[in-house]
Amino acid sequence: MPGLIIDRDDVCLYVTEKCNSNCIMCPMSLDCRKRGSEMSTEEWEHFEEMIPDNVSHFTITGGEPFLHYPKLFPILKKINQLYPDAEVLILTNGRALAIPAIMESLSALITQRYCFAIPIHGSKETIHDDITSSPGSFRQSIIALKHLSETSARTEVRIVGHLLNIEDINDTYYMICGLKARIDVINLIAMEMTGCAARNRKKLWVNYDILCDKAENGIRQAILHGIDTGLYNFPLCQVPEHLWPMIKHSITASKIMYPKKCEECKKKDACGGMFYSTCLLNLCTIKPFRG
Amino acid sequence: MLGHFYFGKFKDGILLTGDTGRWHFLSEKDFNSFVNDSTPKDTQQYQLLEADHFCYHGSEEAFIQENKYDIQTANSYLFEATSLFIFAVTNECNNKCIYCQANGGGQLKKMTKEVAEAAIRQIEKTPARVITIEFQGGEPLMNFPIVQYIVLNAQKLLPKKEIQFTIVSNLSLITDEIASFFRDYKVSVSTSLDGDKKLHDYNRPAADKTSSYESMLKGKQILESYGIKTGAIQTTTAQALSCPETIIHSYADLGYNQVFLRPLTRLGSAARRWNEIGYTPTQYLAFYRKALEEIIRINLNGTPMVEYHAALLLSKIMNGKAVNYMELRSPCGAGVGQIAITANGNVYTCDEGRMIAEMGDEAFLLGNVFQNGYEEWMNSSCCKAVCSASLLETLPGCCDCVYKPYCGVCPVVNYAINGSITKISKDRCAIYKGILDVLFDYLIEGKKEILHLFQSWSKSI
Repeated sequence: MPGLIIDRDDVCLYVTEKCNSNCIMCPMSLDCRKRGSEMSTEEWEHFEEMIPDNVSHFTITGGEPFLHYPKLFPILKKINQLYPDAEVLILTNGRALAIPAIMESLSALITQRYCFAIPIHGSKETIHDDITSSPGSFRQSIIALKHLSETSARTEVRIVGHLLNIEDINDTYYMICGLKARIDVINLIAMEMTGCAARNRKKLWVNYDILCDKAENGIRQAILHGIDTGLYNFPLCQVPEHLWPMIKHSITASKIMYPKKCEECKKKDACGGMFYSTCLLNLCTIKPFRG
Repeated sequence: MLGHFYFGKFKDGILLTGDTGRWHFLSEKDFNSFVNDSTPKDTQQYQLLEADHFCYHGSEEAFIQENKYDIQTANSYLFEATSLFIFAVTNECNNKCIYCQANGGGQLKKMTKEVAEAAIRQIEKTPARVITIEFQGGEPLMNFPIVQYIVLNAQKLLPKKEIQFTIVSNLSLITDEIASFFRDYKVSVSTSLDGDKKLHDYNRPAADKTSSYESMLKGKQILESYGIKTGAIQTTTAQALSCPETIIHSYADLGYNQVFLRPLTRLGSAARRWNEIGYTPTQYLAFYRKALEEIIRINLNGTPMVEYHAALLLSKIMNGKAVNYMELRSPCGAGVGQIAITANGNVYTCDEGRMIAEMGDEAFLLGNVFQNGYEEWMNSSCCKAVCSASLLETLPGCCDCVYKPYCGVCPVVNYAINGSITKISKDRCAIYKGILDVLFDYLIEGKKEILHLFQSWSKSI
């Protein structure tokens, strides 16, 4: 449920369940997004009294957090005033930022401690908009990236890989590298198989190692462009060894699970594991290192 | 499994250092048993070594993951582009310092507005967002109109950059007008102070035979009346060697809480007059050791004062944090960290490279602000040559030195002294090694109050 999630010096503001897109691989269920509950009034208005003093990192996420921009902007202002050294990561589809008035107000709040992570699902409008089920969303997200790259914030593109965009993944990397915008990071994200993603798994699931293989050229292209690249949510055995430096241990500790086979693996201590949901669905073929 | 580390004999034992700056000191016996994997794993010594990544159990991949962020932090300057832009706005000076490296007796030139504007426009191409523009000379205030022009126009011409301005001056030409300008535009001011009046005037005689010490003081006072606090750096000549205490006290007396004890570099006038003002590394190190003792004494008596070399090195040793100090990094900052632009618009790898040019040798020329731009400068064979010549990881003798995690080499000094950018200057090497020896003496001795003091220095920069 939305609210403040506090983990030592890291605070996550899970702003809302509501979203203006309707992505086929969303880890939230349709019901949940429709219900659209959000942070409590007390959390919106007094969040600073409910969190520790030494917060060094904020994550702002949803649903789509900018659906509540009139309430979100005062929060960002408070973060800037009260936590001037903290990093702020905002997970958004960016669509609201294509609206000049919203972007203009946001620009005044952005500092170089901000990072915006925006998912791009394909190299072109047709693929992206089909996945989000939202016509126009591709154009809006790209505009947001261009606007944001004019600010001092860092910009991150997230590509969630699955069967519907796997053949287009390389082109997506190339398209992003060629954008007339400053993109700092591109991360390839392995799906979390809950909500819509679980429901649509027959249409979506592709084994992580195949995904990695298909993305390799694109990853190289990003590196050549000086763009930081990462692999999120990938178990070690699904990634070819030369790409291991890209792996980020990105799954929240409470959501990690290791399939039984992993007990035999000699490199388990270096592996970030799998989402428990993906693990339980028994979709992924694990290849433990025995040597 | 053993991790990756450097080691060397130190006094009666072995010093071990790692790429993240951490270190351990072991007796020869303990060291032998550690590298032969016969130290019992349940001892405190082994566990401390493991905690500092000198060894590990588990998979190599997990070890890499655990270390990679620390290694990134220790080398964070690699993620920065050129951020220091030195504008040598004139090579004219009203002092005739005995060790001057900035004027080889060539033609006197002042930077024009056209050169300044072209130079600023070229800076736009650096990917660094936060940049420093440093005014140097000669005496930069002998061309104050251009300093003023650059400060007033740089931000307009570079709207996307955050610009910090700093000037290195002998302060003799400071007026109320200049001081209020520096205050209004937040220009930070650094000067030279070599010791007491006698030594300072000897090292840095004014051309008009007046006391450069007195005129520096006068300038300092005017700046202070506008709320501007100056910084100062010292240059050590043979005449300084006998009086480290006096030098430290002349800093304390003028209210400075930082001193930077710099050895003489054998360039320019210093090279010509080496017999008179030069010395051996051993002599410098005896001076440094005594001076540091005095600084520590002053601190323990309640007056805070930092020695900048020590602070730079301690930041790496105690915090594993890289300071983007151009001389102590791998590769050095030539081109990729800084560039120097002279009055005629020529662009050099660094301040030292430009000094070689003042002596008539254009070896470190990257280009010219009118003829080419940032990309060409960075891609020039000169820039690549100094980068590869200063990459410690590839230099025999440096790559496995116990002080490798903290050190750096200067291809320009190598070239000036040994005629080759890769032929390491033995004196410079001996001096940095010696300074690190002094610091590790204190660190290994481990007196609480000194460790505490060092910790505060390491965090002061």
